[in-house]
Amino acid sequence: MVAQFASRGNLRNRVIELENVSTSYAGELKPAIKNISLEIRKGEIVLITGPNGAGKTTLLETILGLLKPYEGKIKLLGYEMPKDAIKARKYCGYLPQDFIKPAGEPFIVKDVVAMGFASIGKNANNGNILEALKKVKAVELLNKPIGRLSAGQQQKVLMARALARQPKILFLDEPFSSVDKEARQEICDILENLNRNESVTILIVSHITPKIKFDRIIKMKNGMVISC
Amino acid sequence: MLTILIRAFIAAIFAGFLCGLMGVHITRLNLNTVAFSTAHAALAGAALAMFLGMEPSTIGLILAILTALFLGPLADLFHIPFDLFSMSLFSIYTAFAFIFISISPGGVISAQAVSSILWGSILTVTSGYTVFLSILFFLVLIYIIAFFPQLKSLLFDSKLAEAEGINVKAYKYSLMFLSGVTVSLILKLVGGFLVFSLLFIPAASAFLLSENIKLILCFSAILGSFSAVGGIFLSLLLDLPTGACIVLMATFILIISAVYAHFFGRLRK
Repeated sequence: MVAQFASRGNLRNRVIELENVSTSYAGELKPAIKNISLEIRKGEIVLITGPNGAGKTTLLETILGLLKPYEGKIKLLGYEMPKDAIKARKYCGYLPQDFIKPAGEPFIVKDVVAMGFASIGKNANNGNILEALKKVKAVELLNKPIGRLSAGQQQKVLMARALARQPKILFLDEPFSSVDKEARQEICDILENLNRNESVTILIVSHITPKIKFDRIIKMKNGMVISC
Repeated sequence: MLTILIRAFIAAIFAGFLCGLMGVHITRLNLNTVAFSTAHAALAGAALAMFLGMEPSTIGLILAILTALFLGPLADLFHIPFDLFSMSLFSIYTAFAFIFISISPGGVISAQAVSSILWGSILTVTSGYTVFLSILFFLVLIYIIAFFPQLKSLLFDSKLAEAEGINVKAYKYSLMFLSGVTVSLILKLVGGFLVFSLLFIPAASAFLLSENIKLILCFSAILGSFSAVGGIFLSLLLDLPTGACIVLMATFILIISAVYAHFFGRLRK
C-alpha cells in the first residue's frame, strides 16, 4: 500500500485533498467548518491560522479522521477518509492542542516515546527512543515522569514521539501556545530541519505566527477558508 | 466443607486478580459505569428467570454478557455519551428487576433468590464456576500481554492513540466486554453491591504505590487477590458476610498504601 501511495504521490504529489468538506459537532446544527476545498503537496510547510473559533482545530481533526465530515471528500496520503483512517494515520505524526499531563501520571518519558511505535509495527528499543529524543534535544528527560515536566518539555517529548514514527505528514495543533520564545524557536528549527532533510509535510495550526519559512498560509474565519 | 473452601480460595485468587487488572483499565479509560450496567443486567436477568421459572444465575450471566458486548457499539450507534447510556441501562435494568420480582409467583421467595446475587456467597462457588473463572483469567492475561503496547498507548491518551492509527474503538469494546464478563462472573462470589469495590479499591491502592503503569497493573492484581483471599478468611473467622469482609480487607490495604505513599513516595521502577 505504501508503494501504491508512492506511485500516486509521484504522479500528483498531493498528500492532502479536500473537496467541499463540511463538519459539525455531534448535536450541533451549525457547521464548524463549511465547504472547504484545498490541496497540500508533499514537502510543504503550511500554517493554518485565524482567530479563536475559526475552525482551525476542527479542520485538522477532520483531515485526520478524528471528526467525520457530513459532506465532501477527503483524501489523506491517497487514502479515503475517514473510511481508511487507521491505515492513513500510521504514516502521520500528531501533536494535540493543550496537551499537558498532570503530576502523578503513571508514565515516564521513555514509555511515552515508545508508544509512538505501537501502531506502526516497529519495536521500541533504547536506541530508537534516544534517537528521537536527541532530535528534540531532550535526551536528559528519558527516565523522568511525564507529569513532572513543564509544558514546553512535554511538547518536546510528544514531538519526539511523533518523529519516532518517521511520519510522512506532521499535524501540529498549537505547538507554540504553551512554550516560551526560546523553546518556540527550538521547535521551529527542528521542524525546518525535518522538512529539509526528510521532506516531511508539516501542517501547523497556530493563532500566532512563528519564525518559520512557510510555503503557504491558510487563513480561516467563521469555519471558512478566507485566503489560501 | 474443605473442598468448598479450597474452591472458594482458588476462585478468590482469580477473581481478585481479574478485578485488579480490569479496574486499572476501566478507571484510566473512564469506563467505570460498565460495571454498574452489567451488574444490574445480571440482577434483571435473574429476576426475569425467576418470573419464567428458569435458573436465575445463568440467565443473569447471559444478559450481563450481552450487555457488555453491545454497550459500546450501541452507545456509538446512537451517538449517546457512553456513561449516559450505561447509567440509563443501569436504571432500566433495576426497574425491570423490581417489576419481575413483584409479578413472579411467590414474590418473597423470588426476592430472596435474586438477593443472593446482590450479596454473593462462597457457597455458590462450584467447580464449574472455578474452571470458568480460570479460563477468563488466562484469556484476560493473554489479551493484556499480547496487546500491551497498544493498551498502554490507550491508557496514556486515547485521542492521541487514535490519531496514531490504533483502533481505539476495538480495544475499548473488548475491554468493556472483558470487564462486563468479569463483573458478571464475580457477582456470585462478592455480590452486586460490593463487586465495584473489588474493581476500584485495589486499583486505587496501586495508583498510590507506583508511578509506573506496568507496576500499577501488577500491584492492583496482587492486591485484588490478597483482598479477596483475606476477606474470605476474615468472613470465616468472624462469621460475617463475604463481600463485606473483602471490601474491609481492600480498604485496609488502601489505607496502608496511602500511608506508605505519604511517607515514602511512589515507586517509579
